[in-house]
Amino acid sequence: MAAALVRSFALSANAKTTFGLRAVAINQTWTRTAFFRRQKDKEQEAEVTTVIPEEQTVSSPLSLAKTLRKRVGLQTVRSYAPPSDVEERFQRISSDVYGEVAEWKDYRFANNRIKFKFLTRAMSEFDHYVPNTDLNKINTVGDAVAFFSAPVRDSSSYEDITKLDLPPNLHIQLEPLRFDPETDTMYGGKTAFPGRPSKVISLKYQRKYGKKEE
Amino acid sequence: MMLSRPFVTRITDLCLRARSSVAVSQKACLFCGRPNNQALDLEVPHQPQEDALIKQTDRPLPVITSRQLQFPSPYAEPKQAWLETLSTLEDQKLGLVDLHPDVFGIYPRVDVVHQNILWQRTYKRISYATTLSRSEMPGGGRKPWPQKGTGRARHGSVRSPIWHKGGSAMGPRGPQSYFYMLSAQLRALGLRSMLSIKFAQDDLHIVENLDIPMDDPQYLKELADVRFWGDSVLFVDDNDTLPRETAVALSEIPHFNALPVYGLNVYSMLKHHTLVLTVAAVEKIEERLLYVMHSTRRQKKVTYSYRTPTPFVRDPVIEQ
Repeated sequence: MAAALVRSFALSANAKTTFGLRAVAINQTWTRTAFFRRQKDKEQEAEVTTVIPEEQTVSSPLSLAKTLRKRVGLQTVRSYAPPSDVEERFQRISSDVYGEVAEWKDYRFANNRIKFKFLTRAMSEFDHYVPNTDLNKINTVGDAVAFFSAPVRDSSSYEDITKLDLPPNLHIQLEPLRFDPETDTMYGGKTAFPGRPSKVISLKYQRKYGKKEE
Repeated sequence: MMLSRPFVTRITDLCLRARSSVAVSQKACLFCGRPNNQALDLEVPHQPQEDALIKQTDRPLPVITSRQLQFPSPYAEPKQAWLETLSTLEDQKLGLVDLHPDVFGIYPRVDVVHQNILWQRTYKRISYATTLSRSEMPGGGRKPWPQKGTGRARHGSVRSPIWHKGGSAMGPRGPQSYFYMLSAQLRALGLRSMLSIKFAQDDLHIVENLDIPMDDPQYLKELADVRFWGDSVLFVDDNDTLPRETAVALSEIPHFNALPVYGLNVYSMLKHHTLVLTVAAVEKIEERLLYVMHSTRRQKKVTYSYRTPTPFVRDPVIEQ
């Protein structure tokens, strides 16, 4: 399930804009840790993006506390990567829905009907949904443009690190290792809980650790 | 039933394709019934007349854009929410629904929510723990030895609380009820806070009705998966009967539950990840919570007596 939701992290020229990772000035981050020092290849410098810790993406701790928005956890949202021509597409949509208007970005939706038609067109165009809270905040076309220009990540920085070129002596285990007597190699097929099933009861952790009933 | 890997779809105006194994196995679009090879071909335009299965494209969208609110607030704008549907796997927006800001948009009182949850857990509790006092313990009527002359401490009974196997002085005394009632205002405020929390955290969805196209529980599970609704969903309707397919599907999923409006409570809303309300349920909830909020009647005094309100009748006459 997780693999299906995470897009392929190919180190391509499009890597900067694909996943919403902010492209930081390379020189600063490369010298910060020895971890990245081996990647100082000049050809790769322009392409490889860095992983920013999640704390830095929030503008201020107060702004996070003030909103009632809950934290986005792993794989609880649908990821979204804004295309490069967001504004052009919006100009086309706005001319279709309510005709040509000077200062199309400052246009405030005249009524709910226009707002509905506009936003449903935009959602189908970009394949990205507007949640209820953002629906209340979007009152002008400019707000809609800003919403559809903002990327949405569905993986944590920890997962992103595993996608980078890691040193050979570092191994990050993402998938949980669950004991299976048939495939076990460490304990000779002997379970630590004989006669008892190792079930995962919690709904949330069934997704993470897999539902196993014995 | 193993779910196939959901393939990425683009929701276009041309055709809605089910992101599920059901459509793949049926080899036809779940919604318009066209064979999959035609559905994949986006050159073929999507004619509304062809689709007998989809009812919503027959009617023009948006279905609803505004609502009449009771006790409209002069200080806050109504909150807006999408009107969604359970008839299709992918999310399809049918309109915009106005929600009252005093019900769905208040600054939540987390302390009142906590009080409500404590009340819900406690008011039904009856503790059956009982201990016997020194008078109820067997024996202990006689003075064990004379007051003076034996050299031992003076005692009056072998069942006194300081004795081993003696009675309990201050222990629990029989069935004890922890029943109490929070005021209607506090309970309404707890519900309003909880609804506001759900709305603010994008865990609230308004649907037209609870109709689903098939009674397979896998359909609802996939729907919640595709829409990223969360692990557990609470469906609330204004009446206490469900359509047949919905009832069958929900009966097989323990973490998806349905309630009528009169069963809505803070504990259930907190326990379930997502809350799905029908428009009729929203109307009823707003009407009742606003009535309590704006009523000026005094708090009803609740008596905690053991006496029943109706007199005890030794031989009641039961009419056939």
